[in-house]
Amino acid sequence: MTALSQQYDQRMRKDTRIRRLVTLFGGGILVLLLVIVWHLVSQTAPLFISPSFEKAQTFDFPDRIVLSVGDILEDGLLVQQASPCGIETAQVSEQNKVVDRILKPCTHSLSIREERDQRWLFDISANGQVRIQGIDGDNATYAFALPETDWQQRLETDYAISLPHIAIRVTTASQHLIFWVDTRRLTDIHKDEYPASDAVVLLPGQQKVVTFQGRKIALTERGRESRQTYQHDYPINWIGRIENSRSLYVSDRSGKVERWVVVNKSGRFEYVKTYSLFLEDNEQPLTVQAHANTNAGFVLTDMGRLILFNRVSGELLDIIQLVDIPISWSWYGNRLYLVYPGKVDVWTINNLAGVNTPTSLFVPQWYEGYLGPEHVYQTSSGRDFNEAKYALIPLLMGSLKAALAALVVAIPVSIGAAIYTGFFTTRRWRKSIKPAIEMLEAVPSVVIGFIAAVALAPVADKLLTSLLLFIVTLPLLLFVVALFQHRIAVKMPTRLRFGADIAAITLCTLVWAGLSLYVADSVMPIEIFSGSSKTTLIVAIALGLAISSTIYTLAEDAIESVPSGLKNASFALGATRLQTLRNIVLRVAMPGLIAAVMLGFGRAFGETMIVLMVTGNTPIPSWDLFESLRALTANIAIELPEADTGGALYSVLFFTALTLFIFTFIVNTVAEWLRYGMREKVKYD
Amino acid sequence: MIRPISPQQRQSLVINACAFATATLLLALVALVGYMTWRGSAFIWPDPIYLVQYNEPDGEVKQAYAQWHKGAADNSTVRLSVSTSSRPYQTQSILDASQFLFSEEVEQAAQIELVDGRTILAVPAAVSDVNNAQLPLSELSVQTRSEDIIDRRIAYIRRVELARLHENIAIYNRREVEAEAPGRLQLEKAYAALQEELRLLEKKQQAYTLTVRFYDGETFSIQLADIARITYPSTMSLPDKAKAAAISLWYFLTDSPKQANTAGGVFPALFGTVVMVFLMTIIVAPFGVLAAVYLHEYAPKNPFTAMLRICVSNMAAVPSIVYGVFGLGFMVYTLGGQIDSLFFADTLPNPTMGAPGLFWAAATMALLTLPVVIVATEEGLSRVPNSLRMGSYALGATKFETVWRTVLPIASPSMMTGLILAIARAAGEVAPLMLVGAVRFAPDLPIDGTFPYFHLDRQFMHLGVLIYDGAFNSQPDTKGAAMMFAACSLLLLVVLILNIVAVVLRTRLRERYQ
Repeated sequence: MTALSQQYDQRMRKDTRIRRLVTLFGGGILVLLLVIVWHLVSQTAPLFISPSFEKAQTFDFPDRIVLSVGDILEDGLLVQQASPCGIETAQVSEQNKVVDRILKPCTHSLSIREERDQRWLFDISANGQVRIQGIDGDNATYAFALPETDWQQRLETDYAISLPHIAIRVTTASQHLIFWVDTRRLTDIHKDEYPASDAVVLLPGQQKVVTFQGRKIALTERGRESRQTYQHDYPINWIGRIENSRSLYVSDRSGKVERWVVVNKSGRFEYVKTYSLFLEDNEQPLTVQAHANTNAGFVLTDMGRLILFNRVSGELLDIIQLVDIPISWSWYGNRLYLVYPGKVDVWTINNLAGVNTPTSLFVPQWYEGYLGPEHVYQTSSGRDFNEAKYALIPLLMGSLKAALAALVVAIPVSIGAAIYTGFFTTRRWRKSIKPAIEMLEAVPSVVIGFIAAVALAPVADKLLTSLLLFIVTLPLLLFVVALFQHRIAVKMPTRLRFGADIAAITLCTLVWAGLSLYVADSVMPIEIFSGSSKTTLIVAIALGLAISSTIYTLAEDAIESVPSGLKNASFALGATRLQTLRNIVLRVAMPGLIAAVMLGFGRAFGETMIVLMVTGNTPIPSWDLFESLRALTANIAIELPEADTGGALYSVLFFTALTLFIFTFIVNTVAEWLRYGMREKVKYD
Repeated sequence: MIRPISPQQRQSLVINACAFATATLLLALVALVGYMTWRGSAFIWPDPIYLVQYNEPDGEVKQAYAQWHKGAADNSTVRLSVSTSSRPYQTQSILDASQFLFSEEVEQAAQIELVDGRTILAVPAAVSDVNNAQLPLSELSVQTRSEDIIDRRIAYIRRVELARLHENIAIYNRREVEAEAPGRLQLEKAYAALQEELRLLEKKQQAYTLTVRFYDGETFSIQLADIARITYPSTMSLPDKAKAAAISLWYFLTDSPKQANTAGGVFPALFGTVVMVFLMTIIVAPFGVLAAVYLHEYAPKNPFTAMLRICVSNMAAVPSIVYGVFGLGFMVYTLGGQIDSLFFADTLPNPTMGAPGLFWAAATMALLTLPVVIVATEEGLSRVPNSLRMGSYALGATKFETVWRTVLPIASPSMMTGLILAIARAAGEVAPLMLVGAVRFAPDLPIDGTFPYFHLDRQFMHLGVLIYDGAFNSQPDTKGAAMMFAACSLLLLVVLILNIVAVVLRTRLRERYQ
């Protein structure tokens, strides 16, 4: 007895254990889905959180004069004054161990300038001998001579480097002398002269200088070959450039800082006003700096305010008030080093990916080099300080264009086929046709994409011409067949009628398609579509084929599930098959058909391989069917393997993935709800 | 009012239109499969060798041995694969139909396929043996055999003896043993001796050559070691051709890709696909089946369960690339990174599991195919008549015993269906794999003879990725495209057969418990 009850207990315990296990797995689905959503959201979140400054660390250097600071948290070098004259580079992480020492005579004038993570020492002797040498890594040296008399008259100097060009400004009592040096031809030094009453800013990257006085701005090319002048609204008090010289920041008395961006007007580079940043009254910028890999920039003002902004859209991201005004600064990754006499403050910028605000993703932006605000998606520019262009509109339009074009191809074919097998044909034929069409769904999309890309795309002209011909003449064919079909059909035995029907049509289609192809080749040699990109149309055909079996399966289920009682009642009232189809079957099945189309659309929207392989993957914001496209999905496949984890592009790509996820989720839920409603209705009708 | 057509005819028109739509879809399927097979078969079916005469673009008349593939897209051009004395390895040249003068089959010309995947069309003339003596062609098989012995010895030295020495030297290096240590010197001596032996053997091997003659009479000698196969396609009868095609098919399935995926075979890709799918099946089967059992047998009928069902059907509709993004972001970088910091901290910062690889690919695919398995299994469970469950309960069985002993065995074909559909889906899906571990070329297979034998962290090749890559790197209508078409046909064949099996299984189950 006890043995039996023990056994019973054991069985019950096991039952409970298994129940728990199974429930765990059932709940696991939900957990899985939540983890997916959570992960996508968490990786997207940086885009929606504004970046902010945070004070991280202070290095005290009481006994030395810091000239320039590298990325010292990441083993960068500190540059300090050497005694008696010259510079030393030191490794901060190793107790300020001196790495290198460059000693110079004290009569030399020394200055440090930075260009793309490389710092250069400008060393000019008393008689104008210039020696420029790299401090970090690159040990290139450039040596040349400035005219001794010019140099000795100097009151003030400035240096700018943007390889291969170097510009040196020597200001004397009466004029500014600008010396232009091309590092590839060091003997060839060009000298330009400007009146001392103008203020001068060097733009080495563009080989230009900006001069301003009062409300007048003038941009002059090296050699004074061309000159553009602008009249500003208010007197200008400061002009700054960012490192690549492609954007200028013009500050005026009204407290406004305007960004001027270079545009290429048929070969001539001019600067055009875009957005403005607004400062306090009497506040003036001291510097504008751009971040090397993102669209972030900061303005440091003479009131000690540090303003972080998006340098493309002009949105302010964070503003902090500094206690003292630093004497120099450098920016590496998310670390901003501010140099003060005797100490270096390190500020970190949290969530730098948040520079790409939703506005900068969805609103046209005026990028450097463009003629106006545009939607541009371009990530491949590898050069530092180029603007990142993450406009998502072209990608969204590409996805929608491909999916909608595919629907246009798929809907008539798949709904027609669904009506045929679901309503017109016999059970026997249905049983053999339906699985065959459903096999289409199993064909891997990479295979369809391969055929479309390798076999169809090269003959796109011919294919599309013949297709056009085929579609235009098709109604005629069907009409002619319809005229005679009835007469022939009544003479056939009932059993054969349906088979003969589909067989005859298949044959006709085949012959007609072959004829169209032949005619397109020989009779119509004019290539109607030549000269424009056909890839969107090819994608429409390939993608249409891929989704048509999805639509077909669901639509067929809907049509087939219309209760036969309804159909029979309609027949009994004397309706023909066509009338029954129109008034009963399609009406009842409509929610199911809409759901089928929606799910087909969802699949087309999310399809990757076909669009990736067939289209040129060029993100163009255009609805034109003769323009190439890039879809959201293909974009992820192309860019994600290359994207830095946690970087801005990574977040943007996760954002597109989340968009796809939510979009299909909504489409699918609505479609399921429609189908559910229809099932319920059919059940109780 | 005059009706242009009678109601009868109008009805016919609609039926015809619908039938036309059906016919279009069916024809599309047939055309797809047929076209693939036709183009793919060009890769394995031996093409006869012709003597062709054609005008070069500069007007010069040229004669050469060539093959051409009839898969050309239009009639106005001829695509010849020509082999001439100036360019012995077969190259494609595209001619205008007007440049093409005449062609004639040549029986004595052979198609000589080299180990590296290139091909030469020429007439074999003589064989030279180890002493460089010119021997008649009939000696070919004898000389090939004796060359083979040397070849095997070389392979043995390379693969076994040298590898062992390398390993030992690597150990010394790791332990930072001094350069003058006696053990090390000994190893280095042995290494040098083997190198010397190899050099001699290779020199000997180089003496074995086959001399061939092109049409213009120029000769060319090919080392026997480089030759993979010699066939005479123009003399083949139909059964011979079928046999040659079967051999080609075998090489296609078992060889590695060569000449930038334009020749050779697809073995690593096929193997990678199979291993990945196998691993995926192991992961997805218990998850999918248990989740389906929960949904159908255990879950109470409440809104929560309804929501779970909606979740499952939504998961099925989520674009596959999104799973790839999740797989890369969560599994590879987050989970993989964690695993690395816990178990493989000694090799950091080089990632072990924190980089795309086989296991993560399989896991991502399992996630992708989970809804397929759940839906199919649940459908099977719902087909099991309730009376069977009641009978089991009436006999005193617990819920678990009922499910385990009665319901699941009956629904097992549906589980099989689900798994097969999942396998078919995973075999054909490419987009997420490109993010989580499938690469266009992987130097090693995921399973090999070095510890731990089954390398879950390795990147692998996949048929679909190979095809994707082929679409970008192959010119249409070359032999390379033919290989890609063959790979496509293989993939299509596997996927379609799996689907047909699944459909048959499902139909059977449905019919059993109608």
